[in-house]
Amino acid sequence: MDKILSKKTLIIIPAYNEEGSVARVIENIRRDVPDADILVVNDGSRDRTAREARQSGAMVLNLPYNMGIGSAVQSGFLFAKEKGYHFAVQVDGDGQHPSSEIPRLLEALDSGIDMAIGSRFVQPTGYRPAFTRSLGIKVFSFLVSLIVGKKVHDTTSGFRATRRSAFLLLTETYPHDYPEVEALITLHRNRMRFVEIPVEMNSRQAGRSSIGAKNAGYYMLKVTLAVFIAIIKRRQR
Amino acid sequence: MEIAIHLRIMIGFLCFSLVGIIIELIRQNRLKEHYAIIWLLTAMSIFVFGIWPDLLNLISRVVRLHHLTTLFLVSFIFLLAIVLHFTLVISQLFDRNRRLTQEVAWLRFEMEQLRQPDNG
Repeated sequence: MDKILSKKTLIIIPAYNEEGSVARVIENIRRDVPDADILVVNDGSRDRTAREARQSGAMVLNLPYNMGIGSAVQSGFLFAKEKGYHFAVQVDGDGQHPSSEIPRLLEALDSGIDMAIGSRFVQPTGYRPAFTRSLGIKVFSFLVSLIVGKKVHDTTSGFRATRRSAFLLLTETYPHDYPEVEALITLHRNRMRFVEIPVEMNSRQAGRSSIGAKNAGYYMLKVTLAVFIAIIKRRQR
Repeated sequence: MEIAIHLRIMIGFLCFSLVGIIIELIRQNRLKEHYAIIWLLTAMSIFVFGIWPDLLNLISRVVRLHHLTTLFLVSFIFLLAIVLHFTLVISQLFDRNRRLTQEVAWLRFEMEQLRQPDNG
């Protein structure tokens, strides 16, 4: 237990049925960020995700049923809170997020920023989203930029590093599904600062996007509503 | 407005049945007292309108509607309030359920760590 406490960065990997990619993701992180602890939050997977993760040497937090990406990440934040970590980095279990960029996200936190977002659109990268997705991304970018008062390019990226101050706040309030955009407003409302760090994302190694065409409408509606509610929500502290 | 005596008896019967069912459900531990209050109030207001139908006329005159429309409107608003109340309850249960589940996952993790200390 002391071994855990002496280290200060926790990598949180929310994973739902990612047996095909989770081992590789963990391997890459261990190579690129050898000092960090790795926690896989197994969000009620029905495949061998938990076993693959454990065999690769990660800690595994098993959620008893599929709670949704937001609740899974928040479980990771609670873990980081209880174990006294200083930084928490969330990395997708599907291999999209390049672990080689994690040190750059953490460096940004060193300068007193509360959250660093691995962003696909600050500089032109190889990432080319489909039309509807690109439209949604633009709408949220416009909305969040307007509220926050500075240009935010990639509001939906789930590749993020947070300082303790920020993840403590998010253990109190974090949506259970599609949490990324709303979390930015929550941070802003609680006077926390975030920056975007340009990264080159990989295409996913296995699995599918959590947002299918069927859910796109719900996604847009829910997140837009959540953003407006987040503006008028009471501050946490 | 006068309502026929048999209608009043029916309304009275309805109210007493509702109260009876509620009390029985509480007795069997299937209904929390907290939520029974809203149903007892429902029965009471039906009873009040039953024995004192002029109240409905009074409201009708104030909102300038036909008394049947008023009756419909009052019931509709009342049902909306109940549904809103239940949605609030569900939201609260959702939050608590979520935190509870996260705590269980955390405790299970800790337990496994304690069982095999060298793997910590």
